[in-house]
Amino acid sequence: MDAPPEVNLDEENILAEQSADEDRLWIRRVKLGNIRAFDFLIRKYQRRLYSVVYNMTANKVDAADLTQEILVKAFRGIHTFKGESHFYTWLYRIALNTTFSFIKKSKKPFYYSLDNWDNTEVQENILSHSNDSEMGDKATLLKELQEKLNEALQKLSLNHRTVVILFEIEGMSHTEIAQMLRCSEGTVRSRLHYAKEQLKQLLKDYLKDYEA
Amino acid sequence: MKPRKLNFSLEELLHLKRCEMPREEFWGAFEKQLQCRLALESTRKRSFSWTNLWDILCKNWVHWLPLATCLCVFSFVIYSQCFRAEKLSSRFVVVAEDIVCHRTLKQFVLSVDRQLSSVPVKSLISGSQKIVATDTCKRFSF
Repeated sequence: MDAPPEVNLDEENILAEQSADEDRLWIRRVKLGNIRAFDFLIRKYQRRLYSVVYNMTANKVDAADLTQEILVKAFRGIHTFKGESHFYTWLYRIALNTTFSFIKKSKKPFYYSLDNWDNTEVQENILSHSNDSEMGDKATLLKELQEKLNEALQKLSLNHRTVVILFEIEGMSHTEIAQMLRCSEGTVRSRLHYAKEQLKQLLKDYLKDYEA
Repeated sequence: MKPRKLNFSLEELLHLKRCEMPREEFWGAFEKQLQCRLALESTRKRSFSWTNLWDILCKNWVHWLPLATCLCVFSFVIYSQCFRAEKLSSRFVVVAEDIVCHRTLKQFVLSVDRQLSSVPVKSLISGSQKIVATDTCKRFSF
């Protein structure tokens, strides 16, 4: 049996540092008055920011508007960025604060899901797990799962939802999330645990081997 | 809708959300709109905010701190001089026929040369039965 590939953490850290250095360089240019330099940062982070905001709000139109607002806020406040943390940590903090205020203000949330799926390979892999002979076409199943997932995520509290989205969907580490939310790693782990329990309960009809 | 029984784990279901992305043409319109907002932002006149002021002060402290210190010292000297002058000019002792309650010592009737007059009281000299009045030039004692 082949041994599982080793994850080279050093290499990952080096790449992360390189990326942070690159960010610092572009931020310096923006601070010196080169407004165009901000375009680089926009292109680098806009998709990830959009994804977080979309998963938090479950509305593609609101997500687009909020992502733009976040980037404008970042542009406005880039002179206050001192470089004590990574740029993306700072940017995500703006994103989360803006999204939290938006969600708290909107009394009656309206869900408007995306209708496009990237990376068909992943979809196929996931759909291959379902052995239901009665299952209709995959697009319908995907749509159904998407709606149920969004619905379940929206039922979580803001803190729990944020942790699940950042960890499970965005693939961030506990440390990064703790830095963004300004709380301890223990709090992040605990929130993640409770959030997953709640999600399992909400999605029990779709999950295998679920015991309450 | 009746849910279908599937073989997913929660993590697999959540990973499905990673594939959810807007179409490519969306980003074109998005970037265009964002550039307009950023252009507007860069031409907008900055409004006052305490955070901005604090940042400006933090950045230029080398320039304003000595100036502010000089101003503080100067104000203190002027104030102490004025206070001293005022203190000297108001050392008047007045006679009262009645015992004055200290707590209500705002204004009371004085007997000066057997004539009643109302004098606003400035302060009570502590530890003695002397009262400082503001508008008399004579010294009195109990």
